[in-house]
Amino acid sequence: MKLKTQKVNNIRIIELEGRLDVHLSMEVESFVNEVIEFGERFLIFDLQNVKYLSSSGLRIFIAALRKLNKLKGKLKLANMNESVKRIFKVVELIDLFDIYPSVEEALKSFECKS
Amino acid sequence: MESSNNSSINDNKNWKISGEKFRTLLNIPKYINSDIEKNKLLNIIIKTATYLVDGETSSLMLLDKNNNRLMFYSVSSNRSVLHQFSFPADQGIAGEVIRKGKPVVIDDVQNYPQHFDKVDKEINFITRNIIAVPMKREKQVVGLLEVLNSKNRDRFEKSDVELLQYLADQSALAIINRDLIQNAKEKAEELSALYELSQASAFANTIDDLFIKAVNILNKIFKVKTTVIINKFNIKQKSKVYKSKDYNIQLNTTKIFLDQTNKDIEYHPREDMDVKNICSMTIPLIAQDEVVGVLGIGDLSQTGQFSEMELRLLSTTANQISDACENIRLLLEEEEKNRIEKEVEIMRDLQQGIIPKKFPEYDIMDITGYNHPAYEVGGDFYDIFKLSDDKIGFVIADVSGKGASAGLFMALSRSIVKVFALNENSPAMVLKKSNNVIIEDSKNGMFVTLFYSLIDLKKKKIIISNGGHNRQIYYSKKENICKFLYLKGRPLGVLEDSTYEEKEIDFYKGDILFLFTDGINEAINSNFIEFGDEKLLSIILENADNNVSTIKEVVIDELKKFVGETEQMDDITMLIIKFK
Repeated sequence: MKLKTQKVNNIRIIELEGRLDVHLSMEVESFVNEVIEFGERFLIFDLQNVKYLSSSGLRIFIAALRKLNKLKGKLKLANMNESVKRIFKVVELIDLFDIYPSVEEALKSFECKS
Repeated sequence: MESSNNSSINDNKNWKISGEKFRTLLNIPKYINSDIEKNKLLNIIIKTATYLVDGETSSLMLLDKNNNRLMFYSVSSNRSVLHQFSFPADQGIAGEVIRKGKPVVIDDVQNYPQHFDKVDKEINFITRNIIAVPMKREKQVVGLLEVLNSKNRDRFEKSDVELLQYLADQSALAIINRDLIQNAKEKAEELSALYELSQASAFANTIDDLFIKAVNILNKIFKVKTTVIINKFNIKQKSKVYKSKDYNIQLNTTKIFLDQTNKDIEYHPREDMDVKNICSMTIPLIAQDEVVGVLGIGDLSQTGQFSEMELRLLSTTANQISDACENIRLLLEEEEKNRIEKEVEIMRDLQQGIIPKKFPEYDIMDITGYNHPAYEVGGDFYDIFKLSDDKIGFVIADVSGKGASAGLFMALSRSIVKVFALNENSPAMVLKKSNNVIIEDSKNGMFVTLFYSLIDLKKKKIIISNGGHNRQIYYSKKENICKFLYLKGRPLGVLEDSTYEEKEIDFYKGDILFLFTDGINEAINSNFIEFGDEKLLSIILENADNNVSTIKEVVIDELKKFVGETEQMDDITMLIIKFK
């Protein structure tokens, strides 16, 4: 799983690539945990290059969402393709997350709040 | 012995020498030997030379073969300070002596063409005449010894040359031996250090252990005031600093350590001293071509400079430490692997105990099931339990993730759902209550999708409720069609106070309730095409008249055929109920 990250103001954008299955999702999970531990509170996941998402992958998003909600942070998902969207829909998780068609729009949504 | 201050001028070997001088001569081997500290030794040689041949002053030069320069030593008039500087070994009278390996006597130095007067200027002296003899042993020249300006005489004599040569030979011997002993000592120290370090490496169980020991050994052996090792393995582990006891390196030096990404040794001269000595440096610790740590050495207490031997030794120890690191890492990886395998075994046994292998028999229905995890510990499970004589509950579920923690979560969810199900007639309520308990225990986002079917044997009804599970399949014999069963509802463990729907279905003879997890419909072949639940639907339709075992076998066969022999499948779990 390839992982690229950058920071825009106080928002961290994490771009994931490939198949997010059980092995590689552990790597992503530690990175996300570290990032939250270091004080980051606003995360955007850019999923445009995610081809497949297993339940382990979903788990990471749920865990991150719950962690950030507890810390008064925010998690947003951007650039979901159809197959990933379907996976979220099947497990009835689609309306749990703030989902945006692009990273720019996700960033904008942060501005409105502050 | 005649007491005379002057030696007689004689070409043959019969010259006379004063008693005192003779005693000095005899004592030369006693005082000029390899046991004395270097500066003291040079001091004695120089003073003895001056005395022995009655000169005004003497100097000694040692040849540095590596850069072909001569290190000049002389003793000042108050007999305490040793001047030091160096100049090229091919210059002047000294150059001549070194080159020829033979003594040179010059009676009028100022007019001697080869005179290299830089030395004069350096020590503020005007040379009138010189004896210069090589210090050598067999063919090995270590330098030369000079006496300048014959006292009470116009010129030096041949006897002076002989005396001086004798002294020079003894000195050469002492110096050579001293160097040999010094080298041997250093080599021994080096070996001892390496041995200690290798012992530490062999017995260190963790990186912490190794580095703490290494820091202390380095401190001891190099008599260095500060040593520090920093390790940085990967992004998961933060950098750790191991310091020796009197650590006092400034903060910015620590920054230098942390910035080291290249594989070169870096030297950091101190800015507060106008000495150009190197007094701290960083050495990268390299394992598998990557910088895994940085060794920082600072503030040598003795000379403030690193000798070549010390540099070499430091490099060697850095390599040893890196190797030891690598070994420990591999060892830990191996241990981790074993631990995980053990864990997996325990979990698998736990799971085998939970998932029913035998199925209850009823007059009104046949039941069979199949559970084959892809890994040793899967996330799927099914459960069957009796609420009463005519109410039976069927659960099929899928825990997110794999491995030991998924296994535990699975056991937990199953128990919670069972407890609520045994006390609750509404499947939707069972899921709602279970969710609120499960969510408290799901710390890292774990969740379980679950499809619950409550079969009422008396009323001939099935009440279903769903928590995020994939749609299930029902065959109706009357209509001779297969349809999907689906209800909205979140997986358990995701959101507090989630609510669930429920639906009633009447069952008839010949109907089939096919419960399964997404390991079947999401199985992919080598072209990344999914098996699909539509395909599953048609398989069940085709085999609707067969018994549950046959249906099970057919599904498994079709799945295997589709996926291919070499592909890895997800967990395959199904629970089949056919009504009689």
